[in-house]
Amino acid sequence: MSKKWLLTLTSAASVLLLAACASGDEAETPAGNDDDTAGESTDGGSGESRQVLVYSNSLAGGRQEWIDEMATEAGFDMQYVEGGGGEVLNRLLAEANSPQADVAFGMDEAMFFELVDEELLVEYEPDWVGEIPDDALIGDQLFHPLVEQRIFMMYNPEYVSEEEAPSNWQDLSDMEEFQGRYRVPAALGGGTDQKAILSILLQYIDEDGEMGIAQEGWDEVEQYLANGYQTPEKEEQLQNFAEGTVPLSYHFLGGIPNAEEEFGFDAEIVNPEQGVITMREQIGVVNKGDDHDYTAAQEFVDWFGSAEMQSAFVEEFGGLPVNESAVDSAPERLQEIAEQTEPMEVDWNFVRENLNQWVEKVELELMP
Amino acid sequence: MMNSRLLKMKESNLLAKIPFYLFCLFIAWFIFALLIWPNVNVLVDIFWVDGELSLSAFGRLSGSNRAIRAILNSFLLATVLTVTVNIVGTFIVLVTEYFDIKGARILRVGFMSTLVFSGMVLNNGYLYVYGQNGVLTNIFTRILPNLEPTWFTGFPAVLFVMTFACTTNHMLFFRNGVKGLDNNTIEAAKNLGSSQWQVLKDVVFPTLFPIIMTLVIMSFQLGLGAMAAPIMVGGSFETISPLILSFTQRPSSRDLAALLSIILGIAQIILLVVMTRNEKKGNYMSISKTKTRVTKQKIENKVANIVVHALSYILFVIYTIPLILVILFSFMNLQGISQSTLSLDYFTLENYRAILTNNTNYGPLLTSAVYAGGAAVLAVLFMIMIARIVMKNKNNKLAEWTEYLFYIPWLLPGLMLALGLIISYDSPSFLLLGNSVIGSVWILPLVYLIMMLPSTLRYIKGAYYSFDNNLEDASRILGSSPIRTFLRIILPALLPTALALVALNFNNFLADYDLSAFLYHPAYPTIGITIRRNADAANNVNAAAVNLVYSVIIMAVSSIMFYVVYGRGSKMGEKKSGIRNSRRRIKAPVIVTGLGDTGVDDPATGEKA
Repeated sequence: MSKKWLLTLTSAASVLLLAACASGDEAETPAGNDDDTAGESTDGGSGESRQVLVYSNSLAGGRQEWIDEMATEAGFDMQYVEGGGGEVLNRLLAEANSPQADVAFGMDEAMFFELVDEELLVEYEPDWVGEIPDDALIGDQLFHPLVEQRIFMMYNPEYVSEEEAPSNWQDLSDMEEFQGRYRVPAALGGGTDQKAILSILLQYIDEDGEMGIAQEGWDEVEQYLANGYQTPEKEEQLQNFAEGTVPLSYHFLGGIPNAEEEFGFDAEIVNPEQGVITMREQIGVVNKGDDHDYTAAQEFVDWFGSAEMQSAFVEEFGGLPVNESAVDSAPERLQEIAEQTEPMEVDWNFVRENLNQWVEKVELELMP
Repeated sequence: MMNSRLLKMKESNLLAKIPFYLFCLFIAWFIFALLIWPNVNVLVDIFWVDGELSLSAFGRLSGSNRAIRAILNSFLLATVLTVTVNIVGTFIVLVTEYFDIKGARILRVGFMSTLVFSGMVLNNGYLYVYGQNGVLTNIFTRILPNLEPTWFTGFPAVLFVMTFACTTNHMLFFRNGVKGLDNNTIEAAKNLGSSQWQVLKDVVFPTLFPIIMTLVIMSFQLGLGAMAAPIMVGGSFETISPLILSFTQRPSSRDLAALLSIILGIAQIILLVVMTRNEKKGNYMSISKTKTRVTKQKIENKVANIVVHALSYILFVIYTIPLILVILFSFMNLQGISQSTLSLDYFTLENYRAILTNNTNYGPLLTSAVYAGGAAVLAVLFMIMIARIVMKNKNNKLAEWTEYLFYIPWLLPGLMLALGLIISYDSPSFLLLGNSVIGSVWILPLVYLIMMLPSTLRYIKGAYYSFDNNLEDASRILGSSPIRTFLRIILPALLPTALALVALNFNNFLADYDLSAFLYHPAYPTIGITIRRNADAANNVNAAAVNLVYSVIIMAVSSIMFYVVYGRGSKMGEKKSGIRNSRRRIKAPVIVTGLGDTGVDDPATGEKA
């Protein structure tokens, strides 16, 4: 009898524990659903703390600490959810029926278009929008660009001369001397790796082709992957690049200065005729219903995207601000590469519609 | 009068049963609300596209050579691994607990290292030995100049690493079993003229059959779900799990992930059902009622003795060298690490200093410890109760099905289960007493708990089998209340397994990242999130070094946890269960009740028979 009683007691205890956690949560969550009411009370008042829950993939490497310090000074009460771009996007999509985030930033335009599809963003025109070049404003005021990234091919001039160097991505697979010596993506989870594939695919857009890409494009991708070098998990691709075992690779703009310094190389950038894939990390206010007070979120967007903050941010962490008034603060090396390369014209809506299928096809059928 | 007494008894019986029925209600709720409903929802969400069932995943998969190859590879690995892991695992347990081998204590420490040294960091360690620039590779290439420096890759490499990496379960559960053996039966067999081999074959292994079954199922599963080894040393030998993970993370490919995962899960459950059927036929309790501790057997054949000693120490070296190298390399700077070169020139304490002085690490570490620890304890307690009900009602169909339902988490990857919970409970639901899971603190530990259930249940059940039911009856006949019987007889017998499971579950989820990223509460990031923030390759060129240091720190925390819970905890449990008292009362030879024995961490005390 009492044995069963013990069972029940223990299970009841576990339930209580869970319940206690749950209620504790309600009490402790400053930026949960309950801030609807908190928001109303601060409406108009500027002296009170403004709570903002940020979802972002751009908080690693000391960024979060830095932003936190500046934001607290500016009167924001910040909380963060961080992860890789895909992870943050997945979380935002999964929580679509009960959004937690106030502001999302850092993901590229293709990902923000997915948020737009799910009606996860609300319109807001930040006060710095006038400092953004017109062609970078593609989000219908639902999202706005902060930092520009370019993804390009590069070679190590110590081992590859300018004449030897390929002029476009798909040339690599045909060059005898570079078989197995150029880096290709080993997985397509990461944004930069996906862009390497996109750099080829987007040259072969064809309405009648499979998933909007001509067969030639698929063949080129297959060749490119088959003849390249997939960096095993244990190896450091930048080390291979610096040592010359894999002297052809690709990289993203913002990471170049650190990589060159740490591994001791000077990369030469390839600017193919179609240009290099250029995307922009965006910022947007998350839709939490019509009766939600968005003041704090909007003020955060105004503050974080301002030329002053963006300048300070890229001075600290590198990166190329889209905000024209902040571009000069970017590290010289980045400005130099930006001048050497031409942004490729990309229809991000078209990419967004097909990207997942493309990646899946490459993963299933084309990867060696 | 007779009638009224009977009536009273019936009444009190009914009243006494109320808590039991309430508990059954709780189980039913748990199974439906947390195991079935979320998974049904996520499967519908994935396979129900635009109002109709979409099974294009089958076509897309079968059209993919890569996916088919990965499936075949996983099954190949699982099959071969089941054999190799069980051979090595049985061997290392026998040489540390059953045979009289010199230096068994130190050997045991080495063989147990895989409990905290696992996953990516273990593979990393093996590559420091066998990989390009590895210690052994450098020696080999000097002897055999034709040897490719990248020789350690593909199926053989994966099999090699996993054969040694996956013996953790043996060192915990098979060891508990061997320590719980009854010396009388062994002595009896020997007196009847059995050779040492015959004793092993006819006495030891049959007694441990349920545990061996469990270990076969678990090593098969470890092979099927192989993740770190194929990624790190597999090269072109790809398995399913890495594919499942990348498909899960992309909404439009989730049907592929679900399908692949279900294929693995069904294989796993078929094996389980077959094993369970066999298990029921047997009767595994030992024959004698007064167990004595196993005396370590000296190997009589001189040659065999030398060979076994040699093999034991070779294995010891295989187990420990990668671990030692990982610890040494965590003190190297990036150059040293990326070139796999140990040198005083590269020595640095900077990485440790940076991490240990960074206060933002400690909060998340505590959060992770509380989440993983809380979930581990609750999962084990819960499954002890479930296993008890299942074992008490062996022939009851309902109980049988209850058991199988708890294996549901084996069918889908953790991330998908989490997604199911979010889809099902993204607004307050009556199924969760008006709670919603989004933005809650407890969803992450809850998912940990759910993911821990199947293997926990499986091991607890295995432990129940080797428990002698007559002792429970005896205790009751002697007048102990059921609760006393449970606390003093059953719980102590299960304690070593239970504590081992707590430690194991804790370690498995302490450094979790994938589930955390999806579910963590903004106010309480876990250590996995912090590690990624500080060791993300895209943002930190020093990532490899930082990762290594974090790995060593996590191993240290896990080791402490393991020592406190399993090492010390077992001894405490032994005291509480009154073994010491019984030892005092009974003079020579040292005969104890035989129950707490399984938890004794000090074989020396019982050896004098």
